[in-house]
Amino acid sequence: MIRLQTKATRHDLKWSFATALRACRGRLGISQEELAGRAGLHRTYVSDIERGARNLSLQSIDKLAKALEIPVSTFFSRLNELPQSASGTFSTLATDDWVDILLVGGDRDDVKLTLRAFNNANLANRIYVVTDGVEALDFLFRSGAYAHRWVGDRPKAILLDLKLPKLSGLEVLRSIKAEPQTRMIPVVILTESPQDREIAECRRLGVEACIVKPVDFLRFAMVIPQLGLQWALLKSGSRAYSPDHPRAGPALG
Amino acid sequence: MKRTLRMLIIEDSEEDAQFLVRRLERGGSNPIWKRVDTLKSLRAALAEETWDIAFSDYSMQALGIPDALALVKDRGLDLPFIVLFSTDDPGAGPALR
Repeated sequence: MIRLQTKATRHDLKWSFATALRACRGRLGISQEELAGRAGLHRTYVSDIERGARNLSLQSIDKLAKALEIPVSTFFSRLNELPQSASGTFSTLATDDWVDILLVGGDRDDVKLTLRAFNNANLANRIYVVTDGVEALDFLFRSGAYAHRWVGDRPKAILLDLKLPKLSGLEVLRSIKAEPQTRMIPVVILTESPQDREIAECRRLGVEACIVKPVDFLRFAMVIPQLGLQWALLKSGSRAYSPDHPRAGPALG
Repeated sequence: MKRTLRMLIIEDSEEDAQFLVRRLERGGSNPIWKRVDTLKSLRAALAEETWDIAFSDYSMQALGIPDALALVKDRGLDLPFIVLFSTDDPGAGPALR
């Protein structure tokens, strides 16, 4: 997917404005087209703004505020309180950024090690971290703190720990696989000492792979990020598709 | 610069093992690998060499995953162990396909 704002980060003012605009529009429940119509702006211009790709003028900001019937300051009052990763220090991504990998990990130390290892392996993947089962479902199904995410923004892969606070990994997995909108996302399960039953259930639900974590988590962090996640797409790529099939496309590592 | 990984592939099809390795190479890895398909050859491989990671195929006939896992554990080895599920596995989630 080609996005104009790939370089925009949450530190970027244009991106922050875009986030605020989407949230305000979302609250009114109107489409981009409708907002553009009300503001007297071109539809694609509004779409660009919402992608953080435009450095818009004060006049345009004023038009948008009037169209949304909010004071101009609303766009900027949010700047200091932009929802960042609900998991705090883990991720540099904002709650509505597009992500490559959703990492659902229950153990904070393990998560930190994993992220550091992915960075060290120079993988350009955008990894977002959630640390309990409820937050994972909120993220994927756009509820709670993630209500403002875009419908089409789904991770290319999910790394899911079975041991999670609030809602178990298996429950999260069942929800993911029960919904047509998330069913096709490759899921890789992380588990410590798997019961045969557990692995069989993962297979039944159609996950791509289970990673049995070593007791010494460093061994995991040293190896797995180096592999990237291409191998996890093996299932969709192996028999039904040739390696060069577009489905094999997403560059996960 | 990525370290070379030593990879043990528990898989009864040479073709599938090679496919996996090609995939990993595409992802930038440069694995040294060996394929084993029986409990005996797995035991020998674990005894004779050191490994960074094990890949295994759930649908293997000759060697069940629980046995392979138990063997690795019995030897006191602490490896990341990846279980892959293949699509053409007849027992795999009929409700979902």
